Amino acid sequence: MEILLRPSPRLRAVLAAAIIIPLVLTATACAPDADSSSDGGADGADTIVVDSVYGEVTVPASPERVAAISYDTPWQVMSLDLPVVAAIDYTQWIDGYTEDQQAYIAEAAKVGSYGEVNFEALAGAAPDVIVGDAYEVDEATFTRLSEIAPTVIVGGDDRGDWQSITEDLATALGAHDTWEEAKTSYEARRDEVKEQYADVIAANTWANFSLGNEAGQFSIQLPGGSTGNLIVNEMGLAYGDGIPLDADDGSGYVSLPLEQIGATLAGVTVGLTYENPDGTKMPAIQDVIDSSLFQQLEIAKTGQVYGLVSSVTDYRTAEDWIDELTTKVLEPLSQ
Amino acid sequence: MSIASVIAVPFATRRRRRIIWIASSFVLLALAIAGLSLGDAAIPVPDVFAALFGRGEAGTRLIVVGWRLPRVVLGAAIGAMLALSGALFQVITRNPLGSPDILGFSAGAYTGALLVIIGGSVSTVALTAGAVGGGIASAALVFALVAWRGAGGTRLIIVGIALTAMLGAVNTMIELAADDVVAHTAAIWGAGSLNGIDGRWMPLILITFVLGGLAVAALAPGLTLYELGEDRATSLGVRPVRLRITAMLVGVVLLAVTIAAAGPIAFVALAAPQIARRVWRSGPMPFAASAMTGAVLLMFSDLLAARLFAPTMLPTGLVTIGIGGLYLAWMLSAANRRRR
Repeated sequence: MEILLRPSPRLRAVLAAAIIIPLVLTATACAPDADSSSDGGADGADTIVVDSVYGEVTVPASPERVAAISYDTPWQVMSLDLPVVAAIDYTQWIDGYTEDQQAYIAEAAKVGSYGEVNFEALAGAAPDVIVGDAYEVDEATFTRLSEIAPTVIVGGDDRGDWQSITEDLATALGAHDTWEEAKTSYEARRDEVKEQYADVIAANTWANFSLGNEAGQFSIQLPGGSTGNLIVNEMGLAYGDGIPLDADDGSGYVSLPLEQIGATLAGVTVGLTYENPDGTKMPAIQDVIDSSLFQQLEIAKTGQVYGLVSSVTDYRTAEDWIDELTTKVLEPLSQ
Repeated sequence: MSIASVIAVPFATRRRRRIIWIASSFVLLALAIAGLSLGDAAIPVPDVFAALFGRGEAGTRLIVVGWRLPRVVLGAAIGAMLALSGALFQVITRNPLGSPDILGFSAGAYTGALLVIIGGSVSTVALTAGAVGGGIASAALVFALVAWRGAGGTRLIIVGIALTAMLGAVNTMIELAADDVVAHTAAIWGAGSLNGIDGRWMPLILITFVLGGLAVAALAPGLTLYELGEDRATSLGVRPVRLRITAMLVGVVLLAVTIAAAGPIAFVALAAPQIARRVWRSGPMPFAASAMTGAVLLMFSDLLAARLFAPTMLPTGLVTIGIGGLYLAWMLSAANRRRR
């Protein structure tokens, strides 16, 4: 017990730094003329004020210890070429991530689980800025996080609005140039693929399905979801007539009973879904595909069901997704 | 027969109980110190006391006073309030299973608070009002459903279990209908947890605890006689109907305020009074001992929830469900042994 009660000097130092440094930074930022120090010293110019969902926040201009505490946020920070020092525990879903993603968070401190932040573990990681999204961080949590370090919570128009979300993150983390570069590259690739495979795109009707909230259900990505946004709004792939285009709950997808799969996917000629990097599918997705109702669909009979690995959270993963779509789906369909 | 003669206990028993009180107070104190000291940032006990007295590093003070102290204090108070609520209902129903978890009052209070959340408010006052309203409505419904045949015995339990199941379905439907963020908030809160609890709940919880405790103390003599049987209690000057309604209202308010603050934490209300009865070897319901047991039970559960899989933090309610399951298994096996 004695050992348990005694912290290491390093941990104490880190904790003290975690609390004191942000307080000092905030105090510095709040001081009059902090941003316009005339002596040219670095201290005065080290912070910027950015907008976030819960108001303006003063953050370091060039943060070095970023904590990303929402589910998609670490990957969005990864796309900005910045490391993270803390993220939630992804052990439960780790098989769904690429080797690069797994390596990216390998050294990051685990600070709780989805929706349940461990504040002490987060303070122990000594971040100089914390970022997350408003779909998982409420105002009370934001207030408590702000006691640890300046906290920027981004929202976008909806959950799948990775364009706005990543832009806001890039601004908050001083990485706008990297974001702009990724955006330009993505747009060029998107336009190139759309032009090259215009015939295939126009000739087919598309759907992106996945597992449902419960056994006996399946889900459809809405245009407000991250992948749905890419499919419908960015790539201009036409969704089937039976697919809902909106939902009130803001989740970006809709979960429906399997009995409705026939009506929902009627007329769909290409079905897209998710698969793990090793080519396997999550058991719950495989259950949907193996169900007798799914097997009666046109896409099951023609075999035009494709699993894509990339999980779309930002411009880089969106470009990866388009590359995968091209090699796994558009090229074979064009032959 | 006077009330004093009913509740009088021999000297040896009183001495034994005094020892148990002292021992349990030490356990409570040890759990409090552990709760203030243990965490992802382990803080030595001297630093804990320094922080409590406003000294030491700012970071340590924030963790100890800002984050851990509310959790420890509110954990103890909520555990005690749940136990008192359970004790009141177990006396009213004359059934060890007559706890608010089983009777549907917890589910009703949860429904009330859930409606407030999807209505867009998470303020202390609104959540409390919703939970108290839902709790009272469900209690009224349960007693109305059994009123025509009497509120005692197995019938009340079965009606309570049925209402709990129905309200559970209603709560799930409400969560599914809510938007993603609200549903997520409600689902985490619905597991019952002290993880997110903060100092804003301190005044309400402590005031309710003190007032509720005083109310229970005032009701206790009457409830002790009531346990002897309604006719005997009436002959000794107790007014059973008024006593039942008052005790029910106090029980529901105690329960509902805890649900508003921390979500529905299962089994403490059920188990604590029975554990206290056995440990203190008390004939009548030992209300103060129940409160102490509830406080110890919840603080211990919360410590486990926070440290068992750290840095992942379990909802406290999951641990109390585990402990409650063990308690139920033990109670059933003890009942089987008695039958043989």
